[in-house]
Amino acid sequence: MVEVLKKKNRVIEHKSLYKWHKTWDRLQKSFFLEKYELYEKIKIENFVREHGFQKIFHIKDNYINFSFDTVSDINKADLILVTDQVFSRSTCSQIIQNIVDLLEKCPCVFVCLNRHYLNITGTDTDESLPDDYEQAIHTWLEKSLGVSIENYSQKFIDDGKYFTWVLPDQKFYIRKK
Amino acid sequence: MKIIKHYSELQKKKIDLKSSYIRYRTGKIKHELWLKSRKSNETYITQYDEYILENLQAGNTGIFGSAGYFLEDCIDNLTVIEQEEIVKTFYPKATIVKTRDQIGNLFPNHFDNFIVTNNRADLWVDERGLCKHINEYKKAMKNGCLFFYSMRDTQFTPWNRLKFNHYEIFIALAKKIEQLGFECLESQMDFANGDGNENPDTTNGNIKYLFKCTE
Repeated sequence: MVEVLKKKNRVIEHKSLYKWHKTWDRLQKSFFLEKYELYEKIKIENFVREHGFQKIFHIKDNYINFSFDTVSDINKADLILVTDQVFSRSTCSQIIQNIVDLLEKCPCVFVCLNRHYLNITGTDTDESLPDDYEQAIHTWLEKSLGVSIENYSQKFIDDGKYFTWVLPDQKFYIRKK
Repeated sequence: MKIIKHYSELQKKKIDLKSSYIRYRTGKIKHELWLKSRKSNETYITQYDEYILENLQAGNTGIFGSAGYFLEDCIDNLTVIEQEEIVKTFYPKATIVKTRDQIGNLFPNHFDNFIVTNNRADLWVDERGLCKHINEYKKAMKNGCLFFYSMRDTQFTPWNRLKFNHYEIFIALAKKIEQLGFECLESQMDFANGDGNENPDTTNGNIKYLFKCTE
């Protein structure tokens, strides 16, 4: 291959260049004229209100301004809410174990998973799951956890404009048996 | 207050220079390498850029949608092609195109190397959509042109990640691209190990192909 130009010395940059994630919601809001709230955020607030939860322990990685109060001690929670994107980037078996561990702390868990991250390692495929991906996620959770799960997800084909990286799109209410 | 599900329900602010620049920067993370390099006696690149530089062939090189101006001190005869007008304000040599078909119109059978690295504008398409994009890039390539293409598995849609083998999905994609008139010389697919990171190379994309244009 050809010897490329060497006007300057080259330095390999090893660190990841991503840096906006924690304030992504606020940054996106600055791009638009109108003030808005996400339908998916309101949906979670309505869920919390309608079920009468008052002590929510929120596991998050970016800033989301929910209207309800949260508790800082997981052991005092009546609901654990997971919106942390990193939660979806574990192996499938680890995600299940993490949910089981949360159910040990609190019998009610509302988990938001980012469909684009699931099976992040690419090694946990199950050919018996439904072809429909959204249905497959629900089936995988029920099959793995052995409990009935309420699905609060919207049906849509993601084109990157549904704010999935603010609030993970697949939403499930899971209760301990 | 308006309650929305999708970007399309919102009206974008009239774009001033500052907002355009912020929007551009959030979408083109390798712009940071240029910011760092232009004030330095050294050029900052990634490991994958080094791989590209080691494999380039002599002649004209085009780089599209990849903030490729940071490579200007590393590549002779480099043409930087972008879609955002804002790029002209800090890199006047850039060629701006509105649509991909303009690349082939402006540079028909021109390039010996063509690079697209984790281009956000290429994301959120399926196999058919991606092949359509690549077919446009191909019009700017000479026969024998090397085509370096990389992307993130998490933003290729739609596919059932729980049911289908990930490697097979992206090998099948390479075969589809080959049908456009390419030979896949090399590929690299690195998925996350479950440590919480999205993949080992979110900057460049964890799915990397090197094709040779054969027609």
